[in-house]
Amino acid sequence: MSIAASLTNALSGLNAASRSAQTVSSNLANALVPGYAPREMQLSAAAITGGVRIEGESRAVDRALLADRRLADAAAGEAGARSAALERLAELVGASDDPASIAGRVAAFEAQLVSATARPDSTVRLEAAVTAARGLTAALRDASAGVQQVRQDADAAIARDVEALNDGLARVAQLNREIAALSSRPGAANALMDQRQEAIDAISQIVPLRALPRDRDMLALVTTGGQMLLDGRAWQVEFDAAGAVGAGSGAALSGLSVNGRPVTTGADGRMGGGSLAAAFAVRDDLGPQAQARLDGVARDLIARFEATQADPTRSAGAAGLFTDAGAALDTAQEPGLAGRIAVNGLADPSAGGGAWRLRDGLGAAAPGSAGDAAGLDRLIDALNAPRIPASGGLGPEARDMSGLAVGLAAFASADLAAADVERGFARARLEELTARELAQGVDSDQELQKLMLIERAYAANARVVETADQMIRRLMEI
Amino acid sequence: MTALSLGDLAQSYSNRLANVRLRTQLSDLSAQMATGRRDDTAIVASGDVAPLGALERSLTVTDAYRSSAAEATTLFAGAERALAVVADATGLLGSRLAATRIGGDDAGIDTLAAEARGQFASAVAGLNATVAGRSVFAGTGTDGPALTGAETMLADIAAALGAPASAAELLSGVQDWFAPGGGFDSQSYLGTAERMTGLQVAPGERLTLPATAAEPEPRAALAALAAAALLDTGMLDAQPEERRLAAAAAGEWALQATDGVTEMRARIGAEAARAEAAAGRAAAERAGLEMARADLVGIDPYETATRLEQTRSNLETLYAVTARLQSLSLVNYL
Repeated sequence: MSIAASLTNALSGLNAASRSAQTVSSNLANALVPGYAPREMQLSAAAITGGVRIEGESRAVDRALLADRRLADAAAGEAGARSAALERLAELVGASDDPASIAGRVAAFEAQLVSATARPDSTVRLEAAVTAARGLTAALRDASAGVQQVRQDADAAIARDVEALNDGLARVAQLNREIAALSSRPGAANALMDQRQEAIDAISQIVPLRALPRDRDMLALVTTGGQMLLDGRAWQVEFDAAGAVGAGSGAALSGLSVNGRPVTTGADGRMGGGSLAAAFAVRDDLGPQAQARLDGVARDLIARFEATQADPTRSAGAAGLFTDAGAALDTAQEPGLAGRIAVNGLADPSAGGGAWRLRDGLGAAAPGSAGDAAGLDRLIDALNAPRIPASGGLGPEARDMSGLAVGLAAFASADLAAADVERGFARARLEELTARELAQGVDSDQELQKLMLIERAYAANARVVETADQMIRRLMEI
Repeated sequence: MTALSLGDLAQSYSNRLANVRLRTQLSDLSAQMATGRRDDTAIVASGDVAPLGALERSLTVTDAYRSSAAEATTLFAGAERALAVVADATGLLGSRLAATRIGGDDAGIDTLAAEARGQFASAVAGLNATVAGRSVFAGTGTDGPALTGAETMLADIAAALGAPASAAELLSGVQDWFAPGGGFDSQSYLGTAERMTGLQVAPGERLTLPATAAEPEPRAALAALAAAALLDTGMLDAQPEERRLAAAAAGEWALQATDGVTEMRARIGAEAARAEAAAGRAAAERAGLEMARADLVGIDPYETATRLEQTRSNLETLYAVTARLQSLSLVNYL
C-alpha cells in the first residue's frame, strides 16, 4: 500500500522536522552560554520504508582545541600566580627611587651620618642618624615579615586548590557514572556532558589535565606529568596546611601526595604546571630565595659594623652598631636574620642608650670630645667599604652597602620582569585559544537559516500528508 | 571554526578584550601625563632599576655633602677672621715695641704695656671665637672655650713667675710658661690636643681645621703679648732699663709671631678654598644627576599626548564598530 507508506514517510518527515526545530530552539536558547557545545540533529534515510530516521543529537566539540585551551588555562594560571607573588616580593623591597625602600633608607642613613660629621657636637644630628638607622632595620624587618606572609598565603592557596581539585574530581566522577548509565541512548546525556565539560574546565587551571576517552562515554583525567587523577574512581589529593610559616620552617611544611604517595610539583614533576605548582614554587623556592637575599643584606650590614676598624672601642665578640636582636652576628643563625636585625641599644636613645655613642664608640663609658668626628668618619667608611656579600646569592662583585641594597631591588625587579613577560605570553595564547573555542559556539545566523529550511521541510511534509489524505478520500468515494 | 558557522560569542569576546586593553592604556597614559614620569612597570620592564637606584642614592648623599661643605666653609671663614684679630694685635704692637730698643721714654713704655694688655685680651677673645655655637680653636673639645680669660691667664703667669729681677728672667719665665708642658697647657688651654678633623665635604674628602689655640703660632703670639702685658702688672717696676729691654724683646717676638699667625691663616684659607670647591662641585653634580634622572624616568609630554589622543580615537572607533555589528543579524531581516 504505497499511499500508506507515503503517509508513514511524511509523518516521519514531520517528526524529524519538529525534532530539528527543538534542537535549533535549544541552541538559540543557549547561545550566550560560553561552554555550550551546539547540538546537531543526525538524520539518515530509513532502510525499509524510505522515510527518515533520527539517529540522535550530537554535540559539536573540537576535542583538540578544547584540550589545547585547557593546557593554556593551566599555563596562564601558573604564570599569573608566579607573577603576582613576585610583584608582592618586589614591592616589599621597594622601588629603587622610593625613599621608603631599603635602598632609600640606606642612602638616608648615610646622608645623616655625613651631616653629623659637620656638627658632631649636635645631639639632634646624632639622634637623627640613629633614627635613620632604626628606619633601615625596621624596613628590613618589615620586608622579612612580608616575605613570610607571602609564603603563608601561598600555603593557604595550595590548601584551597587541593580542596577545589578534590571536589572537582568527585563531581566529574559522579557525572561520569550518570553519563555511563545513559550511554545506550545516543543524545540523552548531552546536558550531562556539558556539565562535565564545565566541571573539568573549573579544575583545569589548578593542574594541566588531559581527558582520555573511556568506554560508555566516560572520561579519564590524567595530568600532563603522568599522574592519573580519575579513572572510574577519583584519586584523592592530600595536603596538610601549615599553621604558621616562618623563616626556618622549610623542612616542616607539607608536600603534596596523591592516594598516600608523595608527588612533586616542579617543572618535570607529576603535578607540575598550573596554579598549584606555582603556589608550591612561591612557598618553597621564590619565598625562601627572597628571604635569603634579605638575610644576606642584613648579615652584610651587621658584619660591616662589627669589623674592628669600624669601632675600635668595641670589645671583640661584642655586638656592633647593628645587632641580631641585641646579640652579635652568628652565621649559624642566619635564616630569618632580616626579621631580627635591630640597632644596638647602647646607641639608641629610645632603648636607654645615648646617641653620643655613635660618635664616641659603643664601648665608651662617657661622652668624649664633642667635636671629634673621627668615629663618625669610621662609620661612614664602614658603610662605603666595598665588600663581597658573604651569602644570599647577591652576586660576586664587591659593593658598598648602598650598591648592595640597590642590587637587592634590581634582582627582585629583574625576576618580576621575566615573570611578567611569561605571563604576557601565556595570557595571549589563552585569549587566542578561547576566541577560537568561542567561534565553535552557537551561530544564531546559521540556526535561523536552518530554521527556515526546517519550516519549508515541515510545510512540504504536511502537504504530502494532505495529498495522501485526499487520495484516500477519493478512493472512499467510489 | 568550521566553514559554515562562526559562533556569536567569539566576536563579543574579542570586542571585550579590545575594550579592556584600550581603556587600560588610556588610564596609564593619563596617569603618565599627570605625574610626568613613566610608571613603575615600564621602568621594571626596561631594566633601569639599578641605575635609577644608584642615581637616587647619589642625589640624597650629594645634598648632605653640599650642606656639610657649606658649614665647613662658614667654620673656616670664622677661623680666618679670628686669626686676623690676633695677627693685627701682634703686628701693630710689635713694630712699636721693637722700636723701643732704639729709643723712647719710660712713659711711652708704660703706655705700650697698657695697650699690650688690651691687645692680649683681644687676642685671647679672638682665640676663644665661636662659630654657630662651637669653639673654633679648642680642637675637638668644641663644647667649651679654648682658653681661660685674659686676666686669669696673666694672673696665672704672674703667680708662676713671682717677682723677676731682670728682663732676661721675665722673658725666660714667660717662654717656659708657654712652652709645651708648661703652665699654658696645664692651666690656660681648655681644649683637646687633636685638631678638629673629619669634616666630610665630598665622598672620600675629609677636611681638617689646621689650627688650635695650643699650636706653636698662637702660643708665640700670646707669649709676645703676655710678655709686654706683664710690664703693666707691676713687674720690673723700678727698673726702666730692664723694662725697655723686656719691651723690645717682646716686640721682636711679636713681629715673628705675626708671620706664624699669617701662615696659619693661609693654611686655613687653603682648606676653606677646598671646601668651597667641593660645595660648587656638589651643586653641579646635583644638577647633572637630576637631568640624568629626568632622562631615565621622565616622559616626553608631546609624545604622550599624541598617544593619548590616538588611544582615545581608537576607543571611539571600537565603540562605533561594536554598535554597528549589533544590528548585523539575520533576526532583523526575517
